[in-house]
Amino acid sequence: MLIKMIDVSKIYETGEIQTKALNEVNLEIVQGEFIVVLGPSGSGKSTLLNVLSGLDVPTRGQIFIEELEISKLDQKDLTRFRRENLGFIFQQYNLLSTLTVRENVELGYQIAKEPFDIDEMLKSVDIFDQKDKFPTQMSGGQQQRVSIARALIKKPKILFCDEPTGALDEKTGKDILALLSQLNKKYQTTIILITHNPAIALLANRVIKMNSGKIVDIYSNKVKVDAKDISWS
Amino acid sequence: MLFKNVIRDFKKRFVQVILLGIIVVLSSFVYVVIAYSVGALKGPTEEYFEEYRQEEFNVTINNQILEHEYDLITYQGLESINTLSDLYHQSQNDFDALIDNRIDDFYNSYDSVILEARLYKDLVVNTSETQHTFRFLKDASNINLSYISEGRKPTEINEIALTEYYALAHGISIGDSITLEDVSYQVVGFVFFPDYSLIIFGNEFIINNKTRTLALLSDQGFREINSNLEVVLAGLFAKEVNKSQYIRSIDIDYVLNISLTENTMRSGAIYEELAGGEAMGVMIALIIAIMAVFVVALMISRILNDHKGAIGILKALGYHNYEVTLPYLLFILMLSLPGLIIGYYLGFILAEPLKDIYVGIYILPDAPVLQNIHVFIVSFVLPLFVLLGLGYLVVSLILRKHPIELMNPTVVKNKPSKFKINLPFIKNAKLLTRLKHAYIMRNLIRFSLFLIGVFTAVFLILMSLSMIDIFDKTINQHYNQIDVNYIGYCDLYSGCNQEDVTHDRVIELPNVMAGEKNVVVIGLDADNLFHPLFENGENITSKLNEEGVIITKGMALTTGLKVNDEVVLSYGNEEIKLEVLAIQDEYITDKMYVNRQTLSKYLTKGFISNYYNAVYSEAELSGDYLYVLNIDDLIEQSKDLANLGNAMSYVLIVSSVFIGVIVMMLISSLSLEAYFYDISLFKVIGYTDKEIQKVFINSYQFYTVVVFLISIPVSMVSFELITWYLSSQFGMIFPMTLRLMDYVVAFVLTMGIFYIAVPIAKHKLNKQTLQESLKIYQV
Repeated sequence: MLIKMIDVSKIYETGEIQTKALNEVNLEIVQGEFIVVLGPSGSGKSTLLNVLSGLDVPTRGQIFIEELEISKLDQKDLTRFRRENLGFIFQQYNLLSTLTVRENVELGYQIAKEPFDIDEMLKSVDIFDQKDKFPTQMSGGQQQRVSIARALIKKPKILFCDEPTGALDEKTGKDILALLSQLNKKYQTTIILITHNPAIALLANRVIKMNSGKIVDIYSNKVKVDAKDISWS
Repeated sequence: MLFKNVIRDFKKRFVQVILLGIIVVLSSFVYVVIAYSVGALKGPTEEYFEEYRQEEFNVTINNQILEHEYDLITYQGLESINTLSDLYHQSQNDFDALIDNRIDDFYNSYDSVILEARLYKDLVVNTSETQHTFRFLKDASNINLSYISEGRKPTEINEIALTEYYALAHGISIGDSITLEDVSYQVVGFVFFPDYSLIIFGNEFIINNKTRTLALLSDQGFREINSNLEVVLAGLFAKEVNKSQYIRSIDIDYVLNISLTENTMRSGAIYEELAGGEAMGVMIALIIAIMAVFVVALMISRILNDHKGAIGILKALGYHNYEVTLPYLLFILMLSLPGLIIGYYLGFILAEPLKDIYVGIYILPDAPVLQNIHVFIVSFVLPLFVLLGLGYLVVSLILRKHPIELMNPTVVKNKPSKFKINLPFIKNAKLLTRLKHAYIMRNLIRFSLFLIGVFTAVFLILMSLSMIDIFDKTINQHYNQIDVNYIGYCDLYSGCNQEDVTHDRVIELPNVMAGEKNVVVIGLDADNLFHPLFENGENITSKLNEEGVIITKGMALTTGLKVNDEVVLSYGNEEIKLEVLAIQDEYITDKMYVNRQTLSKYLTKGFISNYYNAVYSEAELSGDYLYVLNIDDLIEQSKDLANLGNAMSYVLIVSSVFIGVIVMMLISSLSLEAYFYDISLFKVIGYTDKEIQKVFINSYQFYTVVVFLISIPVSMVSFELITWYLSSQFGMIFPMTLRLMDYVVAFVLTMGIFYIAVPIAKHKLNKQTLQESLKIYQV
């Protein structure tokens, strides 16, 4: 078992108002799975990603990643854990504009123990010929490829993707999803992808549906659909 | 909405606001305190100088009676008369006639001036504690008139007027009696002389108004003082002339030297002090004000960046530009107004004690510190309008954008620039190293603020360190190298006649012209007991056996003379050309050493080789001397000024470090705020706080060192220029030198600036939680 969540709750307090962003969530994920987390805004999917990735700490419950209880780690150990095991992709790409493509990827490379070769990684995400460009000279899809390369260069066990196609058009979005599927197969990286686009769920091994901070449904796709074949919504 | 946002920002940036407030206070304070203290002296001083007819130039004349002048003397005992002083004491009518004749000679050759003889006598009085020197100035009738600030002028033989500072320092009031050389005088007033705003006697740069005083006696009382009379001519220009050209053109046999007042330390240094003090104050205030402007610009643009969305909404709703601008101008008002008010009033209050320090050094009529509209406008109104104008400009730039552009949130804002990351000297460095430099240089205003702040701090630290013990260097260092504790002076013309062989026999010959410089030539024996000579620490006393002169380091600096150069010495009608043999480690500017026997023969046209008019002694002197100078007292007298100078240097060091720390704290705080997005990204990717600190904070360490290294040659050149300026203008040596230890101390203090400021920034960086960072990505 790669990830195990036991009765995890996350409560935000604003003055006297308490908001249960996660409500006693239990979940298990195995190595190499492609998980899609679906849900409307405010359903708790981003909070799930945050606590799972150690970006935030749960109010209650336990989270194990490879038998390490990350919910008990302090900020320093969480940072170390994140740098050694996790990768992130965000909707807004979040590249450093003053760095070239190669240098942005190098940011991830610098802190990895046994990273991939940068040029190999750039070729894998099909932006090797753009390596000397700056992010602002590239399209959204290309920037997201850089972001993926930066995340994967560290050889992370888990790749967290928060609405990675949210800012992209249909064709580019499908290209990115195809790339993620391909990398999932190639490197056996566990991918946890958050989206509100139900069509994307067809790419996953398993789909987790959330609402009001709870997992309302979990199901496996018997057949995974190719990214190019999904109908965009 | 924006009003609330602005107030919220004010609270959120409280530390930055306080730091900026301190900068604003400092800027306003420095200008006001100097403008008011200098202003309180400047106007009244100028009026006083004009009203009491301060000399515009002074003429050092030959105090010997020239051969052709003997025809003018009717007094019968001519064989006992060699000098003007002799003549004055024997026959005042002949003296007056001779002086009138000299002045007429001057008028006949060079018109356009008014001259008056300035007569004075010095009296060294031993007290139980130390030696006090009284300079009695004969009351003038046309130039350099005496000013009685309290009481009245002496009219009786036993009445005296003193400088107020001296009297107060010794608890002497008007009506009290003082005894000088067994003669009792009643103090009837406090006196000022416009040709002595600094009490500097002789060629030692010793200012001690507690042991030195000017004094006024009745004419008869002046005549009765039993000491050598000195005579100079005081002059005023009667019409517009090119002053420098005019004094250079004068060639009269009895004239040894002419100095313009602005180049005469005792009378003209105050002009330079007031102008220099004011310029220094304005410069420091301006530098700090520029830093304040930079900080405000950075803060406002940061805040506007945060408020872009809100501004866009208001614009979309139809708000006018002025309605959007107003809250930001209010913010600037809140930032600057308290600082300007505090700075102004603090400066005004502290101007009085600062002025008192000036008045303690310069002998000038006191005047109250009064507020004036000019200072208020420059220190308060002008900065306020500049800051408001700047704020308006920055807001206007944002308001030019369309509402949709402002409302559209974009995380990536900066356009790429290869220059920023590919600086030549870091081209091949690791990515994080290149990033470190790129982050520092990305914002030129912030980088400039850093450079100005740190450079100013380092420069002021180096300047302060160079001035510590400066008086010790110029005065005491020389006396510490020699074993002379007492100098006994005899009459210049009759010389000494002491049999005691435990003393060094010396000739001290004043008023010798070395080129265009009036110098004292010291005749020393090469085998003297107490006065070795040193060149860069090496004993060179034996060089006195060679034919030539040994000049002081001070003289070398002011004249540019070097070893092996030739210098023409003239005394009376005689001229002699001598080679410079060595440069003695001494900062007195107008002193040179020669072999005593050579000088003796020169003075006596070869007749006497053993003439001497002074003795140097290690032990206390007793015998028939005109007066005995106690070197310990001399050193002691220089201590007050030295201590004041050192105290001011230490205050300047602390202030410099303080300015540096504030700037560094602001810079690091503003940087962390500006790079919030990037820092968040680094945190999310998995960079540790330590690694992030290296990129975003520690990079300033490198540039602090760079600024320090750059400031060294800049400071050295600046100090050389200051030294050159003071020596060429006033013949005053102000050796602003730095020892290796000073550089070490300066470096430690500079790095201290960094290490004091950085923990606060680190704290802020560590406080930036991932939860905050996440907000960036969950748009």
